[in-house]
Amino acid sequence: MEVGVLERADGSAYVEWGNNKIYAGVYGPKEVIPRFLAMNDKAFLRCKYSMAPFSVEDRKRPGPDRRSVEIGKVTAGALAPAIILEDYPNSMIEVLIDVMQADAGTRCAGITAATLALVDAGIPMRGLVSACAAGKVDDEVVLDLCKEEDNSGQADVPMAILSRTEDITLLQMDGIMSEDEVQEALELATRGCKIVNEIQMEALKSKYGGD
Amino acid sequence: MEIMVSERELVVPGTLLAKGKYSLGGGVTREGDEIYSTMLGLFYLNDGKKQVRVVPLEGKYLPKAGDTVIGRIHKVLGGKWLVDINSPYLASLDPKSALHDRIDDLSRVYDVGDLVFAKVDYVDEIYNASLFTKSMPYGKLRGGTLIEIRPTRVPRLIGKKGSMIYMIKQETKSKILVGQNGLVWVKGNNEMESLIKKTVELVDNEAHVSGLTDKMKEYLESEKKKIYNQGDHYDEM
Repeated sequence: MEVGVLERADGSAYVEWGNNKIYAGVYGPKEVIPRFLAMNDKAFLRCKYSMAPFSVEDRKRPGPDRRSVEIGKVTAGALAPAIILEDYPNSMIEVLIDVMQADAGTRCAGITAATLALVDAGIPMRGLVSACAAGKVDDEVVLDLCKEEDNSGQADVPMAILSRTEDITLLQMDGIMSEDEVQEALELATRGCKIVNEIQMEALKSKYGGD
Repeated sequence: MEIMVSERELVVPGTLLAKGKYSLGGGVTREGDEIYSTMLGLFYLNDGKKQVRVVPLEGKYLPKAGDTVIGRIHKVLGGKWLVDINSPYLASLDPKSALHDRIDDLSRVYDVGDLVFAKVDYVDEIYNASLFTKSMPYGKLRGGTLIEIRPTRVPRLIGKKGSMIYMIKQETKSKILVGQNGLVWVKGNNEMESLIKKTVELVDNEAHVSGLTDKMKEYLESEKKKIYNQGDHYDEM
């Protein structure tokens, strides 16, 4: 993970997570466009997720689609509780996540990168958001699936937490799992998030020589 | 009453800073009895006031009453100017706090794109700032070069009691105005302007290094020698 990689963005981060390669850029706080979305008491958070056409094996049709709109929405939901939006009334914070290479778990890696970018932009946060996915492959609960495991596996549970309080800000599930397995997956994902959080802290501190 | 981190330590958002009855400075938040950082910055403790704060290393400028800023006229309305002060919010400049006499066509005084040096007079709860340019040294900036740095690094550029900026002014014999909003305006001869630009950007990037003023002084002196030795035929960088 690396912080401050894009020159034109207010804050940015690059995350390499297995074979996932993801850039996140934060622009703002800035004036709200369109104007009517402005809120008098807090900032408006807009998240956009997009995948590069060359990021997957078959060429992806460029432009927004159903999936990227959904991920943008859940990303906004995952990040909003961590950001102190009340500090910037009548403004907008824009988070752009670009997937350069995808290998399952991009939404988790995207949220992780976006958090770093937000901190790099100097936006006040209650804590860092860390994300990690658990899943079920061959009847076994595992952490952080790769593409083959995701496609042939039985379930995928991406999760994001506020690492300080362990509040869950994102929890999705795709597939079939028993109640016990879900419980196990949650515990596993929480542990994964903690590890991610440590790497995040290191990345932030290393930008300033670690002292 | 307990402090969890050391003075001038680099903290990230969500770091537990202290427990107990400390007052809150900037960049921190309280949750119950515990005080957490909200910014990526350096931790400071004011022992006298029992205040903890985090000085951020990144972030946008938020207008504060009493600040001096450099702004660019964004729009001329019927009765006031809107000024871009390098912040998420536009500031407004009323003719009453800019001119002594009444003038009908405001764009004859400040037109769109003009640079103004101004004082922030008043800021309300949602950061609508009103500016003041009526007296010296405030007013329009003509010519010169505009340099943009991170607003959080401005105190470093000014230095303790203005030591850094005074040194740069002395060394380069140029006119320099620093806005709290991260804009720096420089006027001098061409070589000096570009030298100052390089110096200021260096300060911006190395703001967390200690002993910077002396380092910058050495840098300026060596660069100045280069310029004078080159004489008339300096390359156009």
